[in-house]
Amino acid sequence: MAKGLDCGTSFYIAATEDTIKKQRNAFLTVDGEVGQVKRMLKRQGIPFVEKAGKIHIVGQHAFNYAQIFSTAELKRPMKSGLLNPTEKDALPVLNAIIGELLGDAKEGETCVYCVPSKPIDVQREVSYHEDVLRTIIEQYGYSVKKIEEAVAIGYEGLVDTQLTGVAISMGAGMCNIAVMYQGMTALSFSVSRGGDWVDENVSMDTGVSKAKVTNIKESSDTLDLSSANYQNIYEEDTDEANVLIAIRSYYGALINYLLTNLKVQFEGVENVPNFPNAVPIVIGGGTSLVKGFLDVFNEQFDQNEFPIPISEIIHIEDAHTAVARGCLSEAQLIEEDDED
Amino acid sequence: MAEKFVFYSLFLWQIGFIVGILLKLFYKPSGKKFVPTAVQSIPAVEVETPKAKPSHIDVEMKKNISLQKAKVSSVKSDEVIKGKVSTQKEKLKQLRRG
Repeated sequence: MAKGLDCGTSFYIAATEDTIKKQRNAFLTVDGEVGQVKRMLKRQGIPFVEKAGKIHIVGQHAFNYAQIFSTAELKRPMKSGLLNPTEKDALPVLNAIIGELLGDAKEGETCVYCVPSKPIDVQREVSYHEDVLRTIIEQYGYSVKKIEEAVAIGYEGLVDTQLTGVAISMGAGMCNIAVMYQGMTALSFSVSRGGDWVDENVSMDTGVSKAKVTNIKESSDTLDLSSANYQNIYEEDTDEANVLIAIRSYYGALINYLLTNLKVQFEGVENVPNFPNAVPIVIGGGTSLVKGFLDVFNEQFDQNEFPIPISEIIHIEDAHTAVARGCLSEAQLIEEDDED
Repeated sequence: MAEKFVFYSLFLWQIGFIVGILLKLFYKPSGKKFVPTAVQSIPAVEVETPKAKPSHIDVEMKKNISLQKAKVSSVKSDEVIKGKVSTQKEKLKQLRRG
């Protein structure tokens, strides 16, 4: 059975034809005597990983602990869309997460995973990241193929325009962009800003911890970035109102950064196709899930400044799983081709 | 005494004459030339050899990634959504087959 895997900074999401599995990509190291800690976690049913005499709580539980205990340091196996170079315990945790999401392969199973495009604003190569993920997935017995994250969004959102248009994946660690024409990628790149960048800046400006900002962003009922609701929030003078106002502000800055860089890249690249007709922009990824996201995007988007005519801006259906579903489509087609 | 002197003199002249004729008939010069052994050596001159400027070649990285597996793992997915997963696979297939 073909599988698609979205390897995100914040979430790993696996898709098969009948199941979607999500795992928060975070962990927290627990101090104390190993045997005692393990017994306690087992009693509580909390998932953990043991490696080199250290116990790490993995996933949503780690995230929840970090909300409650402000001194607890939430660790991230990935940062800015790539393996976190400062996190020494990242690989065994990633290995355990991938193993749980995919399981062992049956004969001839294909897994397509996503990789980021080369970032334009940091000096990092993506090949080591790609190789590590490939090695881990292969270890579970899969035939492995990779596709670019934004292209996976294109496979889900640009099929009605013959895979022609602009696909944007807004993740936690980075934003990936692909300009596609008739299924071919004319231009692709990433910027190392995403939801984490918003959270960090909001945290610095409001004095609220980053973990709490993330929590408010992901689960607050009152968070709505659309302009009508924004005015109502502005009247309030609470901590949460301050956070919401800052979140809206940084979302605007993030989208502006993205669009400005897209324009600059587009103008700097040779052999970019001319688009005779207007094409859509399709957006997916977890950072685009916040209510009112499209309002902020439309505010920042200026057709007169943009290098190609845009017909519409579409927020893809089920944006959080769109990359995993795009990878799944590719994996299914590979398996069908192999059978033929 | 004078007769003996004339006799030996003519005898020597005859030998010399015959040797001269024989040399002229059979001696061929080898063409070797003697040169002085103390030849002044000319110092080598550094010359710039024409070198093609090599262009860069991309090589595949030798990957040697060691997998770090956890000793114990009890990880369970945070969220599992059961049910048919909707994708655009069929449209994608049609597009690829033209």
